Amino acid sequence: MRNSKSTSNLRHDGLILLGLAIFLAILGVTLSNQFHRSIVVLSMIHAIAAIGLTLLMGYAGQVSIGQGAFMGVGAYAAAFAMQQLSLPVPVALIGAILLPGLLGYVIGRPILRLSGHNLALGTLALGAVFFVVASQWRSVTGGIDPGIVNLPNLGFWGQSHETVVYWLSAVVLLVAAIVAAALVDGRFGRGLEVLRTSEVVAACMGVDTVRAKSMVFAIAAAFAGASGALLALYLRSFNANTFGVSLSIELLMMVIIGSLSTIWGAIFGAFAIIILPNLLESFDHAKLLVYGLTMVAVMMFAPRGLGETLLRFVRSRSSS
Amino acid sequence: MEVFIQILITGIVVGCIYGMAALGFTIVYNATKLINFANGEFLMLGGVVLTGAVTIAGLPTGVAVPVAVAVSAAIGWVMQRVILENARHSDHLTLVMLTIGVALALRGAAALVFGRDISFVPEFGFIPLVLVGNVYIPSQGIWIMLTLAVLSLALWYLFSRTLFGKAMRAASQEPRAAALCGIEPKKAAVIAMIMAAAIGGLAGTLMAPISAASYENGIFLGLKGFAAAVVGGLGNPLGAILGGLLIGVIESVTAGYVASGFKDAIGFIILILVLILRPQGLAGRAVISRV
Amino acid sequence: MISVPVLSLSGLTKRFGGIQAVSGVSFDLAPGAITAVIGPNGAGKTTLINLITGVLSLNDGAIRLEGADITNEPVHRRAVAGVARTYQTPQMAAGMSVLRNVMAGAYRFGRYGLLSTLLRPWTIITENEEMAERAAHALRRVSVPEEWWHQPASDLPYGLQRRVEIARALAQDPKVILLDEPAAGLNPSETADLARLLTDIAADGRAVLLVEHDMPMVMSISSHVVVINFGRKLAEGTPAQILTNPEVIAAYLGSDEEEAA
Repeated sequence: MRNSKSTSNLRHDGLILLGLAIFLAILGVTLSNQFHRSIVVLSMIHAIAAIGLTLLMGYAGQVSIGQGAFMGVGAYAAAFAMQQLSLPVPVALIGAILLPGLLGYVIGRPILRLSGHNLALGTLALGAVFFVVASQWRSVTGGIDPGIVNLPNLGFWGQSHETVVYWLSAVVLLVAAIVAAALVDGRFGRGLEVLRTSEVVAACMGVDTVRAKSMVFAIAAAFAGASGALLALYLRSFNANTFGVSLSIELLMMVIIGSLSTIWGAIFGAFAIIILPNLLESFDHAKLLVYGLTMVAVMMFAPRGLGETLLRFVRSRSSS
Repeated sequence: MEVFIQILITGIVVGCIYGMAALGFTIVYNATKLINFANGEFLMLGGVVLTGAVTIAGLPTGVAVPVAVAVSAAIGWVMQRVILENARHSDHLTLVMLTIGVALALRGAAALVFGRDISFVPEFGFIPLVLVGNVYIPSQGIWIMLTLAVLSLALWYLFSRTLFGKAMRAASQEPRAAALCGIEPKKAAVIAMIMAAAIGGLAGTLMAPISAASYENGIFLGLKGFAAAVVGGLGNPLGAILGGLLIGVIESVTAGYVASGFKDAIGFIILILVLILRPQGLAGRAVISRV
Repeated sequence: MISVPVLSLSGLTKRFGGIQAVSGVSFDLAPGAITAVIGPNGAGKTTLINLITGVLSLNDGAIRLEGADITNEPVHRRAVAGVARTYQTPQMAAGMSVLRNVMAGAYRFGRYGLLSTLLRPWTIITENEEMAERAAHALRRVSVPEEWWHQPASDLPYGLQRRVEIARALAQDPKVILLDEPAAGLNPSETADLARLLTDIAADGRAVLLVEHDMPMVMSISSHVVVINFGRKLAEGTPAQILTNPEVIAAYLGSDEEEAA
């Protein structure tokens, strides 16, 4: 077939996806240790938001330090839908994807007029505003104390809450990965990549750059919303501190630990950032310091992402 | 009316701190075109180092303050020489992430060294509080306002009366002209960062007695400083100070008349709006005509 | 010109501050023909391309594409309507392969919207095959050897990058193609290849606008030449008319011989 290579990206993505599905299924069946299971669940949940951020940062080249806020919007939307509107879980989940997506589009249009460090500042401020609102708008969020409490136990047919959330998160992660892979492998992704290098070039080939940027911001927000809603479902109680500025920075860390060039890096990064602090007991004290130094080192020596640079290094070693 | 004046004074005092944060940010921006996301951490450092020096090492305030400023300045120097100098050809995104990384590392280091508890230090003292009718100006507030006044005069003299200062201000726009005045861009960048770190550290020590010092203070202080600098027109030192005062007063009024909980959000909302609607700052034209 | 113009420029004017970068320039582009725009550096040639594509907005004047007024259309709509361009220095998207770069050029031929990709991700499989077909066609046409197709485009030799850029513009299947100094930095044999390629592209029935310094090439392949100096149209005509126009010789060819050579 003449174009076999043009579709190789898709095939390659399909294989990784299959591998991921099998890996998550095996873990889901074999992991009996509650603690290990919870680490995997948290990793999967954060990976969804990190994939969204990769689309925005890695592909479109638009930095956001406010991704955690959209996770928060998703979490509160899900909680509100279930507790105050008594909607069933699937409906709440869909609402928690649509609302941040819509909000992302509305905010994205003006805020993406900014670029570079101004965009970083603007989104950081956005995240900070969200935190203040979440901690003060007590009628909806419950503030810092008590926050949201007593979300339903999702266990049914003898399956525990943790097990149900595990499989739900795995499915949402896989769907998110499929959608993201299709977006970046398709013409939308190509348009974004051209846009990252030059908005003029993208516009001159027919890309509506303003719309494309707002759309990718909205999509990233929707991914974050799904992630935040799952986190809310899993934790069953949370408050504004769960979605502070540090969450946005952890999501950034996940992306740069993985890769800025492929969505799979975000999954790797999410697992790394969630697992490491939990494995190293004394790590908690030094967590911020280690994060900071890691970020500095990665940006100095591997600015397209640590995972990606290591992978390239290994490949070039093995081929020579 | 008295209540309003009291609120105004509180706002001005806090605004002076924001103004100093904004100054550091502006000086670095003028020298290197870099937006330093770690700038707020200098204020955090000033606060926690002062607290540590007073409560742990038992130093008197008069010694502890210079120590804290020196530590902050030294960290600024290291940051510039070791990290930013080696990455100055990187793109925007990388530089932004680098300074965020430095901010995280400083926050983490402060938490490790000084612990995670918030802590208080006594006021600087010496200056008595001023009472006019029922309106009072606290002693520490007077320290803060006086410091900013002296600092502004010193910086004004440096930047507009000395060749060195003028060259530094122009270093990012006219690197060759600056080099002719004996200021290599690299050197200007280091000096700017040290100045920003020292000013930030000083602001941090000044505010430690009125609001508790904590390793977590840097993010919000940094953002308020950015907001002040952007409102005043990026790169304009006078604008940075005025921007700081404006944001301090608006916050204080919001806290006094609307809801204290939302006061932090106001500064950030102003930042976002100004970035989008008037990226040249509220006094933007003055900046353009100056170039 | 007997045929109806594809692109018609009338009174294009652009000021930067107080400087008239382009003032009152009018001419037409005929289908199936190469129209060259020549003039000294800084005459406003690239500005002209930026005005036609909409990257810069006009202070005055009007642009019509096949009779339709596109003066106030945004950049991407003009591209969709059939205007494509290349750049003075090749603008390859960083990290993208040659094929993917050219596929990006076929952006406007996507059949499915974003929502469809979100809800039915598999639709991109067939769409990608179609676009790869278009890209492959364009790449063969500009003779970029297949072994380069999957290399990062920014790693290619300069001459090949120029051709990839033309392929990317061709993948847009444009009615008008604007080329900003495509021969710059090419050796004589590459320039000869380019001349053949441009003639071939015009033979499709496309209107080709060629901004170029290489006079022998311009004079041999263009059917119409527009001379611009200080943002104004100095002369317009067939290559033979231009070469004998005393004003042109004085203002451009005479004063700038080394460039004309």
